[in-house]
Amino acid sequence: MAIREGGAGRKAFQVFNTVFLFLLMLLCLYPLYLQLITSISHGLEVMKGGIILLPRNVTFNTYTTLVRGELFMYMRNTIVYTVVGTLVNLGMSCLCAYPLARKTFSGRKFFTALVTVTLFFSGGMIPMYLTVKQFGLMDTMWALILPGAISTYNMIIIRTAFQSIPDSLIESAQLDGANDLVILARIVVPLSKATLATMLLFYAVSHWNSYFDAMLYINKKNLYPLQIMLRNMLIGGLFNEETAIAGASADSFAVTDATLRSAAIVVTTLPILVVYPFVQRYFVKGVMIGSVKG
Amino acid sequence: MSAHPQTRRAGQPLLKRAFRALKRDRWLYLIMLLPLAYYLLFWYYPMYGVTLAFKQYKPKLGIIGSPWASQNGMKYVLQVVNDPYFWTVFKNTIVLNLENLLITFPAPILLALLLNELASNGYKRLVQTVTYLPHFLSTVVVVGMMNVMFNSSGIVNQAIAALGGEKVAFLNEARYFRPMYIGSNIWQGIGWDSIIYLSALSGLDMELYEAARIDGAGRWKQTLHVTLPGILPTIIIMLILAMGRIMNVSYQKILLMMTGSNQSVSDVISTYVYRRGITQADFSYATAVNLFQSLVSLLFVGVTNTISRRTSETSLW
Amino acid sequence: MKRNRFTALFLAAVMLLSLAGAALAETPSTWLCDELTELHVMRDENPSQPIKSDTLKLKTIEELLNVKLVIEAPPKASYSDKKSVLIATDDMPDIMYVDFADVKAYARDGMFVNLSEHRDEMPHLFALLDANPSLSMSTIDGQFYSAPTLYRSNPDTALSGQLVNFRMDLLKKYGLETPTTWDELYEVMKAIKEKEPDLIGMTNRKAGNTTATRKLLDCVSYPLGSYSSIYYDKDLGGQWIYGPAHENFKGVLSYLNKLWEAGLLDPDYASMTKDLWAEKLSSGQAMCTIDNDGVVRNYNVALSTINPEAAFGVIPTLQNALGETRNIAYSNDRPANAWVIPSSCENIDLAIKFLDWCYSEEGTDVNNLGKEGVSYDVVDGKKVFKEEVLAKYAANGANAIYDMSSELGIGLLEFTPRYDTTPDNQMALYLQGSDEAREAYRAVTQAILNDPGLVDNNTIITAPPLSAEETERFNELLVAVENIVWQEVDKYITGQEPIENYDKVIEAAKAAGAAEMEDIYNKAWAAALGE
Repeated sequence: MAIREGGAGRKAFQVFNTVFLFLLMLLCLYPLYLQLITSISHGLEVMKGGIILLPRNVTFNTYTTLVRGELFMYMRNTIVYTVVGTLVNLGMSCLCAYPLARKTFSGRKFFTALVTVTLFFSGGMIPMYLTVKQFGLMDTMWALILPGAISTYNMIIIRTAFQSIPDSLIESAQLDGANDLVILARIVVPLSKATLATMLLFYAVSHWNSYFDAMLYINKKNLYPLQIMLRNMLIGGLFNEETAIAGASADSFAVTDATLRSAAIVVTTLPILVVYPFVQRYFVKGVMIGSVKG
Repeated sequence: MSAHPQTRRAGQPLLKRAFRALKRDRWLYLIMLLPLAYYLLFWYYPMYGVTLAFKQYKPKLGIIGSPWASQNGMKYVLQVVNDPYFWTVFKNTIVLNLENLLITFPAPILLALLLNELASNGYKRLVQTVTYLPHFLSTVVVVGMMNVMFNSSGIVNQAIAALGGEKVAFLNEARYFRPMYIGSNIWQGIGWDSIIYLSALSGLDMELYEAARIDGAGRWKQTLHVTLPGILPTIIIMLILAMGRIMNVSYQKILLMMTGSNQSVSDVISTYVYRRGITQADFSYATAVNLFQSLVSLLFVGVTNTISRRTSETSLW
Repeated sequence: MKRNRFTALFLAAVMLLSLAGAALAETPSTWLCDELTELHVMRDENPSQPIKSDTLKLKTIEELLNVKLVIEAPPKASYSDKKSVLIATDDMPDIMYVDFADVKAYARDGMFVNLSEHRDEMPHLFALLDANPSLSMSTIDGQFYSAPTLYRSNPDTALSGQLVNFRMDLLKKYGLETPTTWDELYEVMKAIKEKEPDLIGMTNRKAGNTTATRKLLDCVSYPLGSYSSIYYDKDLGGQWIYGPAHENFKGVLSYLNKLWEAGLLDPDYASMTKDLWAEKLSSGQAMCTIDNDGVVRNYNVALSTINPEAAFGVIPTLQNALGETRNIAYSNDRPANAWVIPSSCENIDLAIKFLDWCYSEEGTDVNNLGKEGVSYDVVDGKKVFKEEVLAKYAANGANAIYDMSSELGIGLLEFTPRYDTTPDNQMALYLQGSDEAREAYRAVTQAILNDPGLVDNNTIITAPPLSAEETERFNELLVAVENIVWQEVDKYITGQEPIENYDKVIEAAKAAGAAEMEDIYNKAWAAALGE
C-alpha cells in the first residue's frame, strides 16, 4: 500500500505515524525483554529488584534447570495439541460457517439460532466433565480438542468473511455442476485466506495458552501441556510458605522461582511467535475480490 | 434476511415444502452434519446443567436427580436478586466493561488504520509482530509489572516527583482503578485485536481506491469513504460479539489489582462470586449468577444486533 | 548365543524356585493385601517439589504393604478447581487431599466414608485423635469423615509464625534496645527513621487473593489485641469474637495510623505484592515486617550481599497497649488440610488400612524419612538422615530440601498425612556449614519454641462444628459483613477518617450480622465442649 502523494501535511503525518508506531513498539517489546533479562540474571539480583535495562550477574542456569525438568515432554505435548486441535478447529469451523453464510440455505435460520444460543448459555463445568468422561475422552488428547472443536465466536467471523463472497461466483460454480463441498473447498476457502489465516492464529494461540481443560480432563502427567507447568510456576510463589528453610549460601540463590518463572515465560512465548509472520503472508492486498473481478 | 422465494410459496403442504428444501440443500445439510453433531453433543447434551440454578445439588444424585431448591426452586435466584451487594457489583461490572469497550474497542481499529498508512512493508510487519507480543504475557506478569512501575517509588512517580508534582497512589485510589485497568488492557490487547482488522483491510478491493483517486479523493477521504466502509462489517460483528461479553470480567486481574480503597469500584460479579466460593463451594449460586449474566448479555447483543440490522446489512442473526 | 541360553535357563530355574518359595512362605505379616493392589491417591503438587512416581518411599511402601501407591498430583495452582469438580461429580481417587471446608460442605451428603464407623480398623489414627480433644472440632455431627494432617513431635521440632522480623543490625548500629512492647517498637523505628529517612518502617505483602491490607491485619491485629476475622479470644473471657466489629480493633487501626503519620508504614502498604515485599526486604529498604519468619529469613542471603552485617531476626513477642503479650504461631497440626476416602471408592477396606498405616510410627517414618539404612539411620534412638544423602542435595542450596524431598518422595508436600519436620530441619542445619552457625541456628529456633507469647493458631481460628443450616447462615453473614468492613479499614489507617468514626463501621458490621455470627460460634462452641 505504498501510495506516495499529497503535500507537506501528508509528510508530517507519515513522520508522526512512523515515530508513534515506533514508540508503541518499544512499549510492547519491553515487557518480554524484561522477562528475558530477568531469566538470565542472578536470582539474588532479581530478588533485590531494580533490573530495568540490562541483566545483572548473568547466568544461564535457569534454562538448564528448566530443561532438566520435563520441559521437552510438555512442549511436545503442547505442539501436538496445538497442531491437531487447530486443524480440527479450522475444518469444523469452515464446515459450520459455510451453510450459515449461504443466504438461500433453508435451514439457515434454525441453525443460526442453534449456534447463537451457545454464545450465551452452556451447561457448566459439572455436566461438561461428566460428558467428557461418558464419551471416554478422559486422559486422551481428544478431551482437549473435541469439546472446543468450534469456537462460535471465531466461526461467526469466518461466516462473515464467507458472506462477503459474491453470490454470483457460487451460482456460476453451481451451474458448472459443482456441489457445495467442492465450492467450499475450491472457491470459498481460497478466497477467504486472510480471514482463515487469522483464525488459524487465533485457534493456535488459544490451544497454546490453554490449561484449564487439561487440568480438568488429564490426570496423567505425561500428557500435560506446557501451560500447566508455567501456571504452577507463576502462581506457586517465590518460597514455599509451608516449609521455608534458611541458611543457604548466595550461590544457591542463582536460580530462584522468580528467574525460573521468567525463563518459563520466554520458553513458552517464543515458539508461538513464529506463527505470526507465517500468517502475515496471507495479508496480501487484493487477493480476494480484486482478483476475482479482474 | 430475505427468505427464499420457494419457502414463501403459499398453499403447499408443509411436509412437501420441507422435503423439497431438504433435497435442494442436501449438500448444505450434509456439510452441516458434523458441526451439528458437535453442537448437540458438546453444547446441548450438557445443557441440562442450567437447571443447577434451581436445584439443591447432591453429587450422589446427579444434577437431574437432585431435589429442587427451596422456595419452589427459586432459592438461589432469589439469593442473587435480593442481595443489595449483588446489584452494586452488577453496576460495577457494566460500568467497567462499557468504559473498557468504549476505549479498547476503537483502539485496535485505529492501530490497523495507522499500520495501513505505513509506506514501508517491512516496517509494517515488524510493528505488527511486536505489538502483539503483550498478548502472551499472563495477567500475573502484567499486573506485577504495573505494580513495579506505578508504586510510590516506581518510575512513574519518580518522574512526577522530578517534575515537581505530588506522588499519586495509582494502585490504591478508587478513581485510578478504571484508568489503570483499561490502560493495561489496551496495552495488552491493541496489537492482537488489530490483527482481525488488518486481515479485513487486506481484503479490500484495490479498484475502489483507484476509483476514489480518480474522483480526486485524498488519503483522508479514501480512508473515510473506502477503507472504513470496507471493514465496517468486521467492525460491527466484532462489536456485537464484544457486547456478548459485557458481563464477563476475568476475576484474576481484578483480584490482583483490588485494594480496600478501590473495592467500591473494582468489585465485580466474578470477584464477588469467587469470594463467596471460597467459603462455600456453591455451584447452584454460581449457576444462577451465570444464568442472570447470560440473560443480560443476550439483551445487550439483541439490542445491538437489531440496531445494526436496521442501519446496515450486517447482523449476527 | 550359548551364554544367552544359559542365562535363560538359569532365570527360569530361579523363577521356579522363587514361585515355589512364595507358595510355601506365608504372606509377609506387614502386607495389607495378598495381591499387589493399586491405590490411587491425589494431592496438589507444589512447583518447588515435583511429585515423582519412582521414589524410595513408593518402593518402600510396595515392599512393606504390597500396595502400589499411585499419586495423582494436579498442580497446586489449579487444585481447588480440580478438587471441587471431582467431588461434585463423585469421581474421586481412593484417597484425596481436601480442605476441611469441603468436608463440611459434602460429608452430610454421604460423599465420604465415615471414619468413625471404622474406628476399630483405624487404631493409629483414632489413638491420635482421641489424645487431642481439640481435634474434635474436625467432626461433622460428631463423626470424623476426614483424617486431619497431623504432626509428630520430634527432636527437630521447630515453630514458625507471623512473627516480628526486625533488622537487628540497625538496632546494634544505633545502639538501640530490642523493643519489648509495640510502643517501643514504634519508638525504635522512629529513632532509626531519623537517622535514615529513606528507610521504610514496616512493610507487608499481598498473599493469595485477598488484599494487601487484609494480609497486614491478619498479621498485626492479633498481637495488638484483636483479629481480622472471627476468632476465639482467650483474653476476653474466652469467647468467639468478630474482631473488626469490636472496640479493640480500633486500637489496631490507631497503632497503624500512628505508624502512617510518622511515615513508618510502607506508603504502598495497601497495594503491596509479594514480589515488591521481597524486593524491599532483600534490598534493605525496610526495617521490619510482621510475617512468616522462615520466609523472611530467606531474604537475609540477598541482604548480606549488600551489607554483610544486615539481617532480619525475630523479636520475641511484644506486649500490646492492653497489657497482653501474644502472637500467632502456625499450628503444627493442620486440621484444615484433611484426607478423605470417598464412599464411591472401590476398595474402601484397603484405603482405610492404608490411611491408618500412614498415622502409625512406621508409616510416619516412611513418609518423612524414607527407608532405614537407605536414606536414614537411627543413631542413639534419634532418626538422622545419612550424611551422603544430605550432602547430595545440599549442593542445590535453596532448593536442597525440596529436591531431596522430591527425589525421596517425603515430607509435608508429598502424600504425608502425618508429618514431622525432620527433613527440613536436618537439611537446614546441614546447610549451615559450621558448628558455630548450627548453634546459632538452633538458638534461633529454640528462642521461638520457648517464646511464651506464641499461641497455636488452631486454638484461635479453628471453628466449632456447625450444623448445615448454621454453616450456610454463617457464610452468608460473613460475606456481607466483610463487604462492609474491608472497604473502610484503609480510611482509618491513613487518617482520612478519625478513629472515633470507626464506631459507625462497628455498628454497620453488627447490623449486617457480626453479632449473629458470634452467637452461632459461641453456641456451637458451648455445645461442643458440653459433649
